[in-house]
Amino acid sequence: MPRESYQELLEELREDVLYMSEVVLERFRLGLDALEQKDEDMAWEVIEGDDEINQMYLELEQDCVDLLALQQPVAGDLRFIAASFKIITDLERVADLATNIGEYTLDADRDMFPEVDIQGIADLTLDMIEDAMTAYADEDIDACYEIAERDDEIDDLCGEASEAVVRDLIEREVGESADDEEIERLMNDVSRLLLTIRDLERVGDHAVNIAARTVYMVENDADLIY
Amino acid sequence: MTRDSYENQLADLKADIESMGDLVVRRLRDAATAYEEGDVGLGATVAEGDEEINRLYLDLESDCIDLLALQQPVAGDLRLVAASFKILTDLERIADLASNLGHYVRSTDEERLTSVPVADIADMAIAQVEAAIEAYAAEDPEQCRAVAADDTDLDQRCEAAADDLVRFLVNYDASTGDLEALLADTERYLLTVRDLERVGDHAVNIAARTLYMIDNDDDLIY
Repeated sequence: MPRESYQELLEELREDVLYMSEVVLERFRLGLDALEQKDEDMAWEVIEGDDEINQMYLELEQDCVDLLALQQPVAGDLRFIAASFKIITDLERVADLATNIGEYTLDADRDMFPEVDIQGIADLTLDMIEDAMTAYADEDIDACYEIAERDDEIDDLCGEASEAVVRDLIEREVGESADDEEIERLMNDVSRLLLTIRDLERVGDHAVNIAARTVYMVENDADLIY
Repeated sequence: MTRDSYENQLADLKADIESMGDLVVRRLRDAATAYEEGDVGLGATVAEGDEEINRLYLDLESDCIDLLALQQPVAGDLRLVAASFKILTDLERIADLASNLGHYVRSTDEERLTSVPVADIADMAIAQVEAAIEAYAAEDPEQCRAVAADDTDLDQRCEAAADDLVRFLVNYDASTGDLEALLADTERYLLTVRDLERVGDHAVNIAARTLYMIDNDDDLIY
């Protein structure tokens, strides 16, 4: 059994990182479906499935370290491995955020803020992750910059959504008649919603991190890194 | 001779990470002070002073990669370099959050939500970062676990602060006062609490990586 060639190992790493991103995105979409349909079984599937992603993460990390330490890559290859090493951390964090969505599903009581379009914002952020991974696979710099710009839009949408929740809260007539339980439920719903919005914003941030690392990898340009 | 310089490089890397940690803590503390005292000038200084950290970040990252690629460290040394590589990212992110906090500073006479305990939460978050850096420096597994355990307190504190605010808003009489200003304050406050909670999360990441480095134990990693 001949030792795999160095080039094959690099190609394998690229494929494995892309595969990890597909699993993570699939998990996140499942979490959103669970939230939308208030499906607790689905939510548990997302939460319990995180172990598998964590395992994948540490294995890929080990592959990166082995490649760096054993193959002594230089220049472009070196930056590719270092970028992959960082990108898998972002993917693992996105998977953590998917489990948050699963947990919110379990906490969900009722939908008091139908005007906030969680699913719509979520779709945009997941598209960003998907496009960032394609940019990484294709080493497409233009796409990376375009993803960074799209993040401003996500930040705006998330800001508007939070504001809508808070505005609704201030203007909502809870009144003297509201009992503690009613207020407790309202607070629970508000906290959950604000946390969900915050998590979606973070998904967008991770997409930018992936794009930034890709630019650094391809052009040795730290422009988007910070 | 070569071996000796390799040992020195490892020791240098560790010392450099520790000083970057100290620098980040200092920025965080300045930002918290600015926020607490409504010192807009100091806030702006922190918000705009991120360049130094960013440069340090990429320099140290490059040192890690050089060490990995050129020295081919094994076992504990390898884990030290890999851990340092990851911890750098967390330190840089904490510095970003300190910048955010600097941006949020408003002079106190504009403050409408005075009862909010940002200073306490900031102190807790800063203490967590300090403890995590100490754990890394001393390679102390107990301290790593303590940082992870204490993060629950910080999270609960942040959650309670957000709940208090929501309760305040529910009871707020919308017909009085400047609603737009209140909304702006609310958003700023929620962002501040969220960012301080994230500082705590990064402290846990540092502790988790440190534990993995010392004991090859991935218990806290996820």
